[in-house]
Amino acid sequence: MGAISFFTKRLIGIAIVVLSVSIFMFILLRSIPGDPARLLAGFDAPPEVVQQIRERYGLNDPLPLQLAKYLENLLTFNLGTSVRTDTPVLNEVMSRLPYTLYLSLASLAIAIAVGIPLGAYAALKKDSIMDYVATGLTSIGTAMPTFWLGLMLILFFAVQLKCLPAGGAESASSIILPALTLSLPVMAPITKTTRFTFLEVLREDFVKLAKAKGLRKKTVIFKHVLRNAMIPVLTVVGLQMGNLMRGAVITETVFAWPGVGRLVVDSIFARDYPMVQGAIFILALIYAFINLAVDSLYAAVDPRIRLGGGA
Amino acid sequence: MRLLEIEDLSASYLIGKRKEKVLKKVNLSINRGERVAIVGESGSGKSTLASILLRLEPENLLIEGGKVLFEGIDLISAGEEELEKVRGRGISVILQNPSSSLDPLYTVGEQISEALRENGYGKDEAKREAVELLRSVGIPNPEKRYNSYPHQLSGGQKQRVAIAIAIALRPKLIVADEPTSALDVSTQTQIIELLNGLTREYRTSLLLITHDIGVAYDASDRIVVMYGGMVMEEGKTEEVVREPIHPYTSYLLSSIPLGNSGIKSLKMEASRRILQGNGSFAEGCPFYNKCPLSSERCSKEAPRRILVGNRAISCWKAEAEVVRNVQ
Repeated sequence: MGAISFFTKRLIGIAIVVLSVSIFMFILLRSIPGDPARLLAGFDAPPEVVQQIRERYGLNDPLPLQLAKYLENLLTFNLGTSVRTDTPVLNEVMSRLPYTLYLSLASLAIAIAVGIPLGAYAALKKDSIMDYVATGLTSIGTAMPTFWLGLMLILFFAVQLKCLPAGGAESASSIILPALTLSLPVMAPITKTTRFTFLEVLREDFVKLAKAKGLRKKTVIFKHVLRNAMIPVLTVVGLQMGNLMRGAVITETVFAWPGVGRLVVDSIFARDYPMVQGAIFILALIYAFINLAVDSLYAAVDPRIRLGGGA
Repeated sequence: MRLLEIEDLSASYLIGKRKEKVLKKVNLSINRGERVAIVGESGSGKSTLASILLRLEPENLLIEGGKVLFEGIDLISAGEEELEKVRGRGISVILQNPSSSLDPLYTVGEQISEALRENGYGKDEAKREAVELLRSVGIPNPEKRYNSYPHQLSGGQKQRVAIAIAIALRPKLIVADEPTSALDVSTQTQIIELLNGLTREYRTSLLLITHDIGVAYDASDRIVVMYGGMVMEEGKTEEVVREPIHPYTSYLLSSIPLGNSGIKSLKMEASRRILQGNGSFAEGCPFYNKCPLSSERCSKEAPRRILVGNRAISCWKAEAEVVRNVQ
């Protein structure tokens, strides 16, 4: 399999995924009750004004026609204008995107930096107290709802200790609580997978042989066990990207973080169809490309994928 | 001083709360430059014995007693640091399955030279030596193969690489645990020839673990026959194969597939009863159930080790015969 055909295939796959998500979002949005024109004009506005707004945003057209127009605009990367703010959707989403990326990356970094060493340590000290603590923490991390954890952290650090801001993005320390909140549900599966695959790899013949040929324990663990264990962990990290984006919507709302997640929530309440559609479109696109990047990382780690099957 | 001396080694596997005896007072010694083969079927404890030599035994193995003296150091009581010094330089190992004994993520060259680097070689020196090692185990075009990954090599070539790793630091003893079982017959012969050549060249001792008495015949000076965790018969390879004393050795000689081995010319006659089970007999002789010559005593008392000429035997019937001959 050549590298070019691999990427062509994946790009076609991404196009199909993003298109499907867009169509699904379009239908879903219009199946929730509420009229954007009515919301925008206010409840006591005269019917003519509401009608005018409908005309302006094409809300009077039959749904298939609206969908066709929407998809046609997508092809030229025209995401339309917000019903609520009357600004181009793309500009608004792009101005919010850095906040979401910052939050997601910070959370992912925390999850990886804590999860992988914790899982590895638990595996190396299997059945010790540390192992039980790590395993217990991952169970709690999986079970705890994000919004609740966020509220508890606000209560403790912002209300009780008053050492960290409860929300917003004004100061540099504002990132800490939302990033912690968002990292926990991602950290749990990473820790769990690392522990499990570490235990598997430790039982492999090549680890036995690495010890037998006179390598120091440190070399055996960091060079041979860790790298082999990272392949399944990479898969889990890739899968967690979805978790991360879903979590971002909740976390940004709880902490009033001005990211795309909160923009989506606010826009849903305002029935701002173009804004919701545009934001979801951009998020889906990013998600698909991150997955592609993760898949490409396999090749970097594993020569069997990089060089293809041999003898 | 012998190179390796195993004294009364006993061990059990812990399976849940149950203990399964796997080695029963095993005695074995290897001289410098000597090739010893342990022969036995699966469950005889031979691979467990091999794994104890490098102290890389499975987690659930409990060593209950005995000593493993390597150049006078007891490996059973040795600390991790001492063991790290013995591994690679003193004793090295070749495992059964060459496909799983190499790390799939590193080139074969790297897997040889990392062992050299960690034991005093410089970077370039290690690489040069690794290429030479690949050449000496018969890998064609070693400079190029140095950069190959394990999945790009055939099973036989991978086992050659494993042998190169095993001889890299010129160890005094190589433990080869079923080194040819995963290979096809013609490759088997080549690997055995390679092992014979290398051990002769470097005067390395070899402990060969195999279920195939034919392979043992081709690659050993002395044979140790194990069954049910006990050494049944031990002696010079040629003598044991020509004239087995223990009923189990006779059984083994008559029932094995002969393959390509030089043993083919030897036709062994032995009466046998084929029964299932691997002989974890609680008190008596482990071979009691299958033995065509068993007596009542065999079911109650484990046979003791007696020396007959060059041979060590654990068998009541053989012991009785020796006593009769003396009288």
